[in-house]
Amino acid sequence: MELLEEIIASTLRGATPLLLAALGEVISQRAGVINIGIEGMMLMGAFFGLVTSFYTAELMIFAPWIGLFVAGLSGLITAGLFVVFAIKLRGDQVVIGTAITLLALGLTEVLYQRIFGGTGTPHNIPYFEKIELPLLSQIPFLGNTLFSHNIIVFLTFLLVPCIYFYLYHTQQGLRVRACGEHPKAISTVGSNVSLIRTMCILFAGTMAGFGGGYLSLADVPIFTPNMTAGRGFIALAIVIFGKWHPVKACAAALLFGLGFALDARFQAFGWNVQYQWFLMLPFILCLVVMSGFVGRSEAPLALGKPYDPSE
Amino acid sequence: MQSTFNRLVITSALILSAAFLTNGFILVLCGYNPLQAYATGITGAFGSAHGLGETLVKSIPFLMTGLSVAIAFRCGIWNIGAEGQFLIGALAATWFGTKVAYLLPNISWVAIPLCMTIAILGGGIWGAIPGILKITRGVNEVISTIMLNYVALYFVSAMVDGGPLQEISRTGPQSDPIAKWVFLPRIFPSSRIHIGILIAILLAIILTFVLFRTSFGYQIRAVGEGASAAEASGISITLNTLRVFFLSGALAGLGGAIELMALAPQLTTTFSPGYGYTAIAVALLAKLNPLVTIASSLLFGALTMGSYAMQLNIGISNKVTWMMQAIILLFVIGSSSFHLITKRE
Repeated sequence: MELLEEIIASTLRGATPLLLAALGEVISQRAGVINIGIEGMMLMGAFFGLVTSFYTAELMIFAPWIGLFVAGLSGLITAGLFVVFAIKLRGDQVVIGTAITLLALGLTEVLYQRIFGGTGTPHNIPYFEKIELPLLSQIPFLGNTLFSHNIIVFLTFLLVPCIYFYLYHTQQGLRVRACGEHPKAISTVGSNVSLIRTMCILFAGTMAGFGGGYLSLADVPIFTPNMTAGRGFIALAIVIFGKWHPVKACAAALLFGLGFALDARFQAFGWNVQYQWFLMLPFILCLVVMSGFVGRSEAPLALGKPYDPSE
Repeated sequence: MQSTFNRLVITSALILSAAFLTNGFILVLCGYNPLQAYATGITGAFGSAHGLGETLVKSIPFLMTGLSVAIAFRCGIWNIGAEGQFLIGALAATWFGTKVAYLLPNISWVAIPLCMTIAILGGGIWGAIPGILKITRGVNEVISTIMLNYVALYFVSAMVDGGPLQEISRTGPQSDPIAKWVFLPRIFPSSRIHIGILIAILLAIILTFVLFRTSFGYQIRAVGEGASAAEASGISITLNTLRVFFLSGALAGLGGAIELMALAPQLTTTFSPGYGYTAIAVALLAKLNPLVTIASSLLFGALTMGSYAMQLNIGISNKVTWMMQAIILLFVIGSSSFHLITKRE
């Protein structure tokens, strides 16, 4: 029972950064923009979030919040770069995304070495500690699994219905979806496709930044080069598996979170299985899921295609 | 022809200057002196016979993976998977070099081509997987190739760190050295430059010929320029997609094998510092032209060599090359002359 509690709890914790990034990417892809740079945006968030909390450490409990804010901001700024090349210059989104991820890998490692040198990040950086929700955390089983986490976990899952409501029950959400399906049509009725897409990319970048900030600031404060280790790409797969729908993406994120949780558990059991197979698991899962569950016609029609208003 | 060439040289020069400036600016923000860094880098890459030789040596994997990416992108296939294909090629060569080679007579001209063939098959089949997924299940190759990179990375790690290919003594996360008669010969006694460079250049020439002078090459380009139009004129998308996925993977796989057989006699878990990702910048800077890829891979070889010098002498992380590569890529996209990106599908 205790084991089950722990697995469920760590599933939620593992799913949170994936879900943060995936929710942003749902919006971005729904508007027709495929953002592979999400991996790089997460990494930027992870690094700058932690560095900020490190430098503002004397503000105690406020430090991680400022860190998280800066994490989102660095995701936003990185996404701004994406906007310049993808929307303004109408470059290929896949190539730009790759470039941004490379940029983030390089920049964070150069700065990491500059600031922390060979010693790694110190352990006394303020971070988001586990909180136990009053009363709710007293409920047997559910208390330990669902209601004792760092605050970001709660906030992230609260975001799911918000994003769902935004996409499906607001005028703006409808416009976003139209941008991804028939940009020309929505443009003829007076919406500015480039502007909507820009906003969606910036939102996705911010969310990816938060996701990265979660990795470096929640539960354990740490940054290591390339610490996202493909989580941004997994978030992309979650979007596809979740059929570009926030609630289904949440389910998919939980599935991958479970994958990560089992990884850690199996390793701790000391089973006679090489650890690499578990690290590989989420990526295999992505491949299986993509080839088994998603048909050709599910993606937004105009996904990945640069929009030229003069055409 | 002459003017196209001139334009290419001028654009490239502009892109590079802009990239060096931007990168320098970022280095200032990071608290480094870019002039000192660049001077160190240039001296490291070109300042001595040794440096120059190493620059050439380091450009070989970039050329092989760059060709892999160029041929795929030409066909409109967004293969981001050269990294994984490179690793699988190296893994196949390791398997051959440490297990199979001892069962065969120790004759280099038998063992080397066999080893390369295995790597070509390994990389090619690994490259064909996303092709098959794309054709049969409609899976976007961008995502599947990225996923397969991670699978390959952990697979290599599983094999050489605790797996069947780990060295017999089981001390480190690496394989045993491959058999001596699978080593690629070096060209000069005093330098690490090896015949891999000749193979890579020859392949670049052959690919240029294939791409621009044969029916296969015409089909590749036609599919890349517009799949539906190509199909309407009777070109099989399925066949070409599959062929190019295999070819692209095979080139990267051969690149991995060459790197292993010439330099590292053993496979480690950190065998590739991201050659397959850099390859995208290499190929795009060369406008997806195999011949020009020779020049751009030299540039990236020099960048790599320069970054090692910077790390050694100034203490800047050598990952500064990734930053530089990314900036070059962004400027390539920015220079609108790269028309293929907007013609996609």
